[in-house]
Amino acid sequence: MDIAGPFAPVLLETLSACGAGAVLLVDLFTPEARKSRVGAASLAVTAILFLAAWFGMEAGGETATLFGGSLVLDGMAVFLKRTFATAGLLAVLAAIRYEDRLPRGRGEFHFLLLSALTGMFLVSSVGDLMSMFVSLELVTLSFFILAAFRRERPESVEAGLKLLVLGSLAAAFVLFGTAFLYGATGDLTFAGLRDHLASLRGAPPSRDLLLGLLFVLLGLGFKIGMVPMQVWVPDVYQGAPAPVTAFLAVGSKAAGFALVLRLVTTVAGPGTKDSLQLLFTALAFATLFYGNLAAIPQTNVKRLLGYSSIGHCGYLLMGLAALGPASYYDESAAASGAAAILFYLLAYALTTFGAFLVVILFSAATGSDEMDDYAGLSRRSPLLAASLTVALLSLAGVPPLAGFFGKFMLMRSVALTGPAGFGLLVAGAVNVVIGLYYYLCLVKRMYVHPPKDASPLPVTGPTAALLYALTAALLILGIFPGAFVTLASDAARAAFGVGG
Amino acid sequence: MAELLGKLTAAMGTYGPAVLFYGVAGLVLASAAYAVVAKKIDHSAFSLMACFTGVAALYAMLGSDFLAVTQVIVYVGGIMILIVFGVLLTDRLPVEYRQISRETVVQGLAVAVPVMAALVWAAAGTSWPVVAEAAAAAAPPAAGGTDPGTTAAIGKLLLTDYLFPFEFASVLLLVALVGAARMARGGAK
Amino acid sequence: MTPLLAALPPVTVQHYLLLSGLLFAVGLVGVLFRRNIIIVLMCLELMLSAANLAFVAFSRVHGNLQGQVMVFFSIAVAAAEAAVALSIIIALYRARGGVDVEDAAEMKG
Repeated sequence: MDIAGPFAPVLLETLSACGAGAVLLVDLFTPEARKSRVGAASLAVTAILFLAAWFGMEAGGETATLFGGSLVLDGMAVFLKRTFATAGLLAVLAAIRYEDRLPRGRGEFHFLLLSALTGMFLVSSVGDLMSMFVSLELVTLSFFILAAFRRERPESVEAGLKLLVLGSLAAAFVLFGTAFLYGATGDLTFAGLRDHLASLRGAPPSRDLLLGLLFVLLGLGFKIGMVPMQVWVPDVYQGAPAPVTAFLAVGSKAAGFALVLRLVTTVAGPGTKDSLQLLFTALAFATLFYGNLAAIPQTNVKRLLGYSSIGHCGYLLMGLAALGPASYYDESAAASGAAAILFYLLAYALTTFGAFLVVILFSAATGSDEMDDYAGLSRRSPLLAASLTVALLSLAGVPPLAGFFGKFMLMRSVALTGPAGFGLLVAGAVNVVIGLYYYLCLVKRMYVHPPKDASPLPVTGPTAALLYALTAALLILGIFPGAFVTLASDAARAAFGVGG
Repeated sequence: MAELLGKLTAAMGTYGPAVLFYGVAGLVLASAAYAVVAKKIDHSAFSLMACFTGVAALYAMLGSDFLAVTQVIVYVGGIMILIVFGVLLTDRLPVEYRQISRETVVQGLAVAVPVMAALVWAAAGTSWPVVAEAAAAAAPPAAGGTDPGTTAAIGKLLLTDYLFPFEFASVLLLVALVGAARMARGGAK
Repeated sequence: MTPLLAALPPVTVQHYLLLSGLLFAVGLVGVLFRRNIIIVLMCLELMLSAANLAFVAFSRVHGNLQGQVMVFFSIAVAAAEAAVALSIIIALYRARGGVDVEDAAEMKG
């Protein structure tokens, strides 16, 4: 069903921007004693967005453009918007369970969550570099403040500042790279870039174009937590408020990959794909091993999830390495790589929120994020321990959970590229084992080690329902991935211009 | 004497733009470099102000009058004032000039050297469209002998082709407003 | 006087690009090596300015205004970023009593 007609490309963006404003107004006119209404308003907005994204937009429809190509709504954009809408809904649900720890400023907190969400919707369908910069900055700027939101806690301010300095540095790289892309092509639209490369007829593009591309990719690499732009990840994950960390983990990664995918589908062609494949293979190697090896000695759960998210960025980069070397270049490998990235992002969103919800509930009850304090959690709250275990196993890639199928799709796309992908395939497999090791260490603590403090941790009805729903979603996505895989592959095939 | 003056005027007509460019470029680079190395933060701030003013002059020399004015208003008049406020609000303690650790130098060089290498590589290998100053202008139609400048054209573009980023840039500014108010507001924590 | 001036090569767009690259590099060095966060912030603004200069120069090369419109947005973003950055720096100053990078480096591991 298509509820917005020609305005479908701006439906979600407009709704969430207006919703963000409405939340601020609700906050303004609500007396101090009834502030929980603010969270309810924000939840209503994201629920509407969720329904509109999944049931109000046509996934397989024609590519729609608006504002002279500034906004493009194709299959890939619809899939990403659905992922973002899901993440936004979960972020608000998590924030409601957290906001009692915010003595003031609930309205601003929800406003910023929704404005970050607006930026993410925009990012998934931008059609030119100008809109890309503005919407990317909308996401980033909202997260600066969200990370530093608990300004009475030095580590939260520190997280915001780290994000700010390195995020602005990344923005400078994106902007400088964009300038050189503009210089090489004389145009700021992705379509212009594609036409320029097509006019070269397979000849390698000029150095200024390559430099521009490299700088933009490096800047976006910051958003996705790619080595060598990963330095901010562990500190920010640890210091930021937990719902923000979860939303940042999912949103920033997916937003970055949305743009990287958009850029790569635009520039991948006979003259560039060899160097792109080489670049992404090297980056995937470095990112996989860095993230997973550095996660092993961690003692703080949020920090552990930070390092592991760098590792997940490495897996996602494998999908880009599936562009394939020239001799084995196969449009279906490239498209299956992109499809795998889309599916993996959706699975990662659900899994990350599953894990962080438990982290939020646990730290609300005990005030701690240390792994040692998770000892004996299975005896204190079987539900929390079981939910966290399922989420961790999905992150590790254990069948039949969602994370397994995502990893399977990524590995398959790399295998499709032929012998060139063999090394990366082995690296991926080795890293799955490393990941399994450190995730199971935490599971072992929860189930085998005796608790220091045996008092039970009660979970209220709605929260328990949410935990059950997330766990069920992980199982459903892992056991019956068919419908979602079809959506993702159709979107990716369309983006690479491969017929159904 | 008159002959000499005539020669001088002719020379300025020919070489004036070059002299102006090298002068302004030198000022911009020198003040940027001083802003980076200055030991006192207020020296840095004022040096950067000079640098941004110089950049505005360069915009004017490239024919973008609108941006030159915007640069002066926003950068020099807005951002720099903001930064000076930041300096005043946080600088009650004498600034401690800490030793830069070896680790920082290594990390910094690991980032800076490849970036510089990439810049040099691109600059050396690209045939930049070398366009002489005078010939480069896509001369705006001079209606009635007056130069309309770029302002009207940019305004039209903003409200037609680029309406979308323009609208959402306002959301961005709202976020900055709300966020800055939240973070810097005094009172109860 | 005239021969001296004649030795100067005529100014081309390339000169502006070179200047832009140098400004970007100077800003990057400042971001990487300075410890005071306000100075780091100023260096970031310098890097954005360098990119803007490249946009205006390219806009002249291509004879269209897209580059200049992009600079307009970039200036707006830079202003928003500066406002947010300073508010966070002030929050840090309140929380820690200093504005050096080390004041924001408690977390290790």
